[in-house]
Amino acid sequence: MTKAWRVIHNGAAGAAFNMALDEAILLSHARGRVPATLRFYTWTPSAVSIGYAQQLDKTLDLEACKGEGVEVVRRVTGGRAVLHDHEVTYSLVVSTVDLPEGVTASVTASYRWVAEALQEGLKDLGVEAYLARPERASVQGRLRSGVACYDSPSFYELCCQGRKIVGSSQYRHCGSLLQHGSIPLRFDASKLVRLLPQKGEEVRQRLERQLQARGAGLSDITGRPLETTEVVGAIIRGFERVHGVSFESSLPLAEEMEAALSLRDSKYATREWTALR
Amino acid sequence: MHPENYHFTKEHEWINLEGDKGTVGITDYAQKQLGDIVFVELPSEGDTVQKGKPFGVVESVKSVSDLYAPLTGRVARVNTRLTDEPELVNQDPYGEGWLIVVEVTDPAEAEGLMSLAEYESLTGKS
Repeated sequence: MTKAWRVIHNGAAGAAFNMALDEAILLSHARGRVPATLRFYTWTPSAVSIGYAQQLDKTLDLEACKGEGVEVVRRVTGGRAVLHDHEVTYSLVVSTVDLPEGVTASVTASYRWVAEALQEGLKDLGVEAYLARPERASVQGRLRSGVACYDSPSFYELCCQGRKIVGSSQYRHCGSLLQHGSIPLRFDASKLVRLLPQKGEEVRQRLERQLQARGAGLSDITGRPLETTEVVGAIIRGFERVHGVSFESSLPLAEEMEAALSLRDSKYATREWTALR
Repeated sequence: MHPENYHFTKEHEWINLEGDKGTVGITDYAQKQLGDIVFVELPSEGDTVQKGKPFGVVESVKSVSDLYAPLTGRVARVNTRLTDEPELVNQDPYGEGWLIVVEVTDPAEAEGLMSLAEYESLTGKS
């Protein structure tokens, strides 16, 4: 890890562009054009992203999303539905040579490697997080039943006070790895539940209580409002301290921006991709 | 199931060639590295797959991973059981967890693939 990683903090964008730029960076890295890259961004307007394998109509109430002014996008990474609202999102693009031997090959080892950096960084914000290590059987069962990411922690996801505070997912392509991470500043279970297919008021209330008990935003933990830049700075310091990564602040290459705009229009903003299944 | 007779790729797929047909799956090492597989997406019968190119994906522990074709050919059969039982890939990667059968365009292409011993050397097993 002698080569500096890029860190890109390019602010707010629409859902389709955000996903497109992450894929463009992944493809660029896989071709050897750019070093490992940690990118931070937010979403305007708010959006809900669904996992690559999720069924759109079983996961979301599209009319409700429209009514709330929430964009819908399908990720290329796995996992379940995430509401991107009052959150800091990161994407990490790395390959085998960027991480210690054996870490990239193992899905859980790579989650752990990233989580250790996040855990360290969050200490600077006064958040004492721990890494989840759920039972295999319960993970398998919940991943198949619930549609919302914050319903349960997966391997090495960060929790605090019994609540999940960072959600993660990955896509592995041509030797490179894209990890998406969502770090809510405020966790709004009520809004998320309003976007899910409705199964009656009683079920809705139960699900909302369940999600509110299982998920939390960083500001909910610290009891004070946190700024995006504070969180970004803390996470960067976490990677530096735990893994000795050095960063160079950067912007996406012009060719990455061009690829991102193309992927936005030809893939992520299309009905064909969003309603893939 | 005799993986000692299979051919392997550095992307952790195997192919068991019988004449011009080859059964394709992922290796035991790969399934262990991936963890519990909850979703498998495969091509349709009649589709063409190209050596070294992605032909499908698996999802495990919220991680989507591409599957790469060991050889070029036409998909003759698809393991449709994996739609409802993706865990078969974990439970029996060299048997019931097979992915597709390919009618291989040029079986001589297999000469560039690895033996089990070579593959295990790559993954540090021997």
